[in-house]
Amino acid sequence: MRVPSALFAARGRAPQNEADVPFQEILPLRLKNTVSGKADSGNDVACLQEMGVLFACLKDNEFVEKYCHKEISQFQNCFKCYMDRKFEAKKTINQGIVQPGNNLNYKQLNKYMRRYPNPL
Amino acid sequence: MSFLSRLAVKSSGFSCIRRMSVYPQHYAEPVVQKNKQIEQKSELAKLHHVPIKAAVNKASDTVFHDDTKEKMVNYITKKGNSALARSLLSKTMELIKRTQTEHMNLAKGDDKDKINTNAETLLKQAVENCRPLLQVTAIKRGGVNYQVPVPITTKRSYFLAMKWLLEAAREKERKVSLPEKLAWEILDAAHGQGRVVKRKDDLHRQCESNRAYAHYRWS
Amino acid sequence: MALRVFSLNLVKTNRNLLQNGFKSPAPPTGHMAPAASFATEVTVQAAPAAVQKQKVSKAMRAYLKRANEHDEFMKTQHLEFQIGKRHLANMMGADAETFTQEDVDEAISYLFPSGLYDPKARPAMKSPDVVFPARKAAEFDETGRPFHSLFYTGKPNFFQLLHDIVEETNKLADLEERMLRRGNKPDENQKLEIDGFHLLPKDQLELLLVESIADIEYSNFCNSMDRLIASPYAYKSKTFIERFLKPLMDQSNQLEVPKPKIDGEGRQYITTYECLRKTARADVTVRLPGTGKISINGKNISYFEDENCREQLLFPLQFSELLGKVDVEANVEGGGPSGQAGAIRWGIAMSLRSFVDQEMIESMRLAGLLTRDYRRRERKKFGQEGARRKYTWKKR
Repeated sequence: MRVPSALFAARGRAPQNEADVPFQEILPLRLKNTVSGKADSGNDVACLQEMGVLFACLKDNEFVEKYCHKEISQFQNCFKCYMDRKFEAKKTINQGIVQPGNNLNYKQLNKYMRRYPNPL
Repeated sequence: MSFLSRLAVKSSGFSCIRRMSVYPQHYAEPVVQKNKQIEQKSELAKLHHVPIKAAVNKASDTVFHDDTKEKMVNYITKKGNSALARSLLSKTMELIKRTQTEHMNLAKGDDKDKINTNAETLLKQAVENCRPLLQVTAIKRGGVNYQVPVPITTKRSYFLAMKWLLEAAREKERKVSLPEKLAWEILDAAHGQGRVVKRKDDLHRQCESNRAYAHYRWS
Repeated sequence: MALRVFSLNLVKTNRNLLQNGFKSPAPPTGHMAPAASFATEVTVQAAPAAVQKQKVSKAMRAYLKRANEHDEFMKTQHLEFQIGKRHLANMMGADAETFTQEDVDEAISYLFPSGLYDPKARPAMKSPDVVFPARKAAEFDETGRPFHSLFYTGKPNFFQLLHDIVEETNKLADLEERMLRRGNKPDENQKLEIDGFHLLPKDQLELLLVESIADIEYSNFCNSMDRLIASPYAYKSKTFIERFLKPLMDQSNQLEVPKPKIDGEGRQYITTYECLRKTARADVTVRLPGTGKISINGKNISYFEDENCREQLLFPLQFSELLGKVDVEANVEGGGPSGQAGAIRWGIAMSLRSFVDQEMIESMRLAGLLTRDYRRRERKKFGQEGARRKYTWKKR
């Protein structure tokens, strides 16, 4: 005899027996002592505000540069500073120097975590 | 390949950069100009124990030497024939000088002093006027190519300016020689007119119209 | 007979050189003096009788066996070397008693002329002490207990050195703090001068420590030494630091400036032979009281059609402000115009050193005029369009 399925549905699905599905530790339940460097390409957007100001000035003056000297020099200084900073940072990171601070490169992070590993 | 790269790693210590130079890494660059040597005296005093690389075969310390001109010769050169490139540039300079002197002689009164007849400063002025501030790079986001404005380094801006000047000079009829056309372009650009300056302005306009995508860049 | 014994020695030496190929031969005596502090006698004496009766550990027994073998081996090597030297002296018709190592080298290069490129590959006859590198003495006692607390690091000398450096650094840091409290400042006059020095290179440090170290370990050594040297009171541990510094050569005094000779007309002149650039080769003579005459292979400066090459010739003359005051004669062959001009430029610059003061020589050196340009055309590589350029890559 066919039992209408609505009868069972009212009770809901029975939970699975926990003994049937023993817990397996497939991966260690601990964070690794390393981070991958994949996502660490870094954000390269710099001097957006200066660029905006420069565009506004250029548009107002029909793209004649001599009326926008101040904006241009500001923009170029900003970019130069940014490039210098990037170069310096790369140098320190490549040397493996860990500086105090919260934005560490993956190499620095790995070095840091090797010094203070997760307790076993 | 792997063997080669392993060799390179071994020889260069801890850094894996493969160096191609004949000179060992600790060799310093020469400072050819004497006035520059006097300028950098304190830094150069430290090089007392450091070997120096040989001066390249176009280096010289004369009043005729000019870095912009040297760079221009390099860009004009095709297939290593720098002697030809040098002669072309000197012919260009001569033509610039001739036209400017002619202008000066035709001018009257106060205008005479205003006309610049120094070909070298005119070339520098032209390059300076053609330097772009930004450029656009294509960045693909979600299958759509966006033209994103990016700031450029000083070095690249000089390169682009000289390249554009040359490209404009090379786009010509067969009858006109390169020095002639280049001289016209340089003179035009030095006065803030002409195709090259327009090209730069066009690039700036394009950057401006794509300003909304400026935050897209990551490279 | 004489030759047989002698060549036997040679062959053996060569074979042993091969076996010990990975270790470089002992350094010149200059670096051997500090090595004494790292407990590296060549071998220890065989164990005394009292020890032999006691229970001796396996490691010690093996070591003693090896040490004995090595001693025996060295003894025979020394004997053979002495015999070989005597034979060589006889062959050369010299007195065997006063036959020095220099004479040996000379005799070998005379008897066995070799065109091999690498000097290390050429036949040689050297004292066994030079050929076989120093070995570490026993690092443990007869019961197998190591002497050194860092024995199990595998590189006790190296890690002891790092330890010492850090101890020195800490000592200096303490001193600095005490001085700060007292309000004293470091003595500026005694400041450590390290401009003309650099740290021992890795291979020399290895010889000093009698241990091979990894690149990263060497960089650790460099970093800790840098930290020590950077301390304002570094002069307090000068003796320690100086053990690991190597003086750099004074570049402009490196080559002796030749004295000018006098020619028939009473003019000073200097000839520089073998001025090389690319494949060109030149001999350049510069005469001092002159009128600026230039002759290249009998022609004047119009020998070079190219403007740039002419400019190159005049560059050292103009730089040293002797343009028009000296005469230049050059014979040049091989290569193209640019290479020939470069060769003559170098020859003129080298010759002019005799006619200018020390300051100008240094200035010319900084301008890169006194450096021989070793750059050559780079070869084309297979699978590439040229030396560096690759073929255009097409996916399919």
